Amino acid sequence: MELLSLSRLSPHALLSSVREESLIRSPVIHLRGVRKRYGKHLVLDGTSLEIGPGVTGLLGPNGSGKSTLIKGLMGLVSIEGGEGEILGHPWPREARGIRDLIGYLPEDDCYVAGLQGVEAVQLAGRLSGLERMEALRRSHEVMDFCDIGQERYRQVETYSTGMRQKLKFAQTLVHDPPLIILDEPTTGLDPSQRDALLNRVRTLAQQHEKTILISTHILPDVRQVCDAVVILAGGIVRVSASLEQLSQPVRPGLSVWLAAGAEAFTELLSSRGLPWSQQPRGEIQLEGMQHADASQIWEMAASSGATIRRLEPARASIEQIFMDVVRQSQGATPGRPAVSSSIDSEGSSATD
Amino acid sequence: MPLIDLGYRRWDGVRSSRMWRALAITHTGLQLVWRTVWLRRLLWFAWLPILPVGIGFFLYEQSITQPDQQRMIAEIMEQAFDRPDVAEIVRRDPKEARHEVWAQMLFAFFRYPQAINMVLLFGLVAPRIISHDLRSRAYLLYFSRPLSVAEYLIGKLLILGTLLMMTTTVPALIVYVFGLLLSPDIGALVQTWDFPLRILLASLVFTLPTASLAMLLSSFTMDSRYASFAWFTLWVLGWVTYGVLTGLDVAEGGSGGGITLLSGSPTTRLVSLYHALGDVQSVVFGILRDPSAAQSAIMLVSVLTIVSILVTYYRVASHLRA
Repeated sequence: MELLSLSRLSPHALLSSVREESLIRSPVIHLRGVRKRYGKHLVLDGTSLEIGPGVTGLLGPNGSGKSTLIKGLMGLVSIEGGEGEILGHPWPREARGIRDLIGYLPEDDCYVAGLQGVEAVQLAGRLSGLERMEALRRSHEVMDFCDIGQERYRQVETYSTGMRQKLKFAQTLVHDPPLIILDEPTTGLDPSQRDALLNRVRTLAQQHEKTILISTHILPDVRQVCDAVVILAGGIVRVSASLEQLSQPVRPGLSVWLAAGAEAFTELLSSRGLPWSQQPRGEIQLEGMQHADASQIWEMAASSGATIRRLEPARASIEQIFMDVVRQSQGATPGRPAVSSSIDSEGSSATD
Repeated sequence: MPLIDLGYRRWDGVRSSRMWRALAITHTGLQLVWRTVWLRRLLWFAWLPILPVGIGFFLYEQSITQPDQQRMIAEIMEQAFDRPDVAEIVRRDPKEARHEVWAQMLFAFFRYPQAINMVLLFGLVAPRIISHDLRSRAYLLYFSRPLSVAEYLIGKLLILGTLLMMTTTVPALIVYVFGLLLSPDIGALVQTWDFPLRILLASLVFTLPTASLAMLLSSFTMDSRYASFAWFTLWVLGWVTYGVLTGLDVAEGGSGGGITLLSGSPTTRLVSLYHALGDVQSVVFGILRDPSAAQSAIMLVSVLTIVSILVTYYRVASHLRA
């Protein structure tokens, strides 16, 4: 099956196009040549990165260096080389001070045993320099925003996974940081909670001008909330582009969803020699067709007895781009240990 | 649906200096300790030894004007504390012996009830102080803020320091003030002005090595029960080994025997942290006239403190690298 994807473009071309865009948007995070090694294994291999305002998804397979990059940004691990600026502050020289401007939601569960939810958020506030009573007041404010009700007076050990995620999110926001780093923020959330959290992320970015970096494996989350995507593989940034850029296929095309008669419709396409491909969720992608060819589609649907539910210009699949980039990175660096990735058939996630 | 939803609100208040933020760790730690009922009771019980020491001060100050009590104080110094030299001064001129008697009583307060209280208190509080943070990965919360590992350790150390100060330093200072109020002349203040400093120094000598050691044990495990076990084992084993060796000393005609504060050879005393600490405190209170006799103990306690702090630092920092 032939698929349309931006991955056919050189990652360098993508990177440079985003660089131009980033110059206009003035990057919030700008790193150059970051190197980090664990023993003999080079985790970050001269990683350069620019992240502008808005929501950016940080994607990458296992061992790609995402966590190390985030820890490096926070100054939690020492790096061997590289420099940059975060929110205008020199990095890594002022990494510790920069933490005051960052709200970090770690992937792992982290809580102080014995504290009530509200006290845990208050503690986070106090560690960020809020006075005791102000931290308590602010804790209630952000817990309201995160939809944590009376549960805030329960001990954190008794919280469900979803509640703990909300609590961590509240701790992330308590000091109102301009830069927010979320590591797998929707893990353990049910669909409604997940939607609510992503809406909050959107609100923070759009209405409160927060810069948000989301490291995730859940690609639908990226599609739903991100403005830009960075794909890291083998310690190198392979793709860095806006979601809009990534969604544009290499060649024009149209996507069709049919309510009925899909078989007859695709048979007709094949008989007329039109290239097409079946995509997840019932999407049929017609390669080489443009907006002006829509009438031809309607005519074919009518003659094959198919009912068109939706017709729109084709978009590149982020799942496919991700897979292609991972394959490219494995091919490009044969000496390195193979990176693993998987995306389920519905394209819902690429899991560790 | 909420009746009113203000959504997200910006915050642009004034932040406190980074230097003081570790105190939030201390405050939260003490808050958690104070919530445990039996631990709260233990803290109250830790104040009980102030009574016998207070009575001792009262009797001594009475003895200055009442010769009957002079004999009693002299006998206590001679028999209970093995200090015939002080007993002799008490018999001759009790006023002159004030510094020695007060020092002896305060030293005994630190050495016996409060040392046992410290072992119990730290045994109950300290093992979970770092191990729980490692288990629940709370260190990610701490270090995602502008807090260094050193500041984190200071914050934790201050929890133990505050507890020990509340149960040892403050009562000792109260007893000292009590003694001053009971003394019939103002000359007592001139004679004993150095005691508040000695009490503070003795508290520091008491807190730093023990709290560092307790934190070291806590940093080695995610299950605080193992740290508790190791803590109590260390003290009990030290006691037993010291007891066995001192018994051998006595059998061989050594210096041990009687209710003495500093029995056993200096080398023998090094096997027990309790006795080594006692030697250092005796120097602080001026009980041990020749500080060089406690040189090995001072060395041991210093090395133990430094090594404990360094290893704990490494242990905590290693979790960030993982």
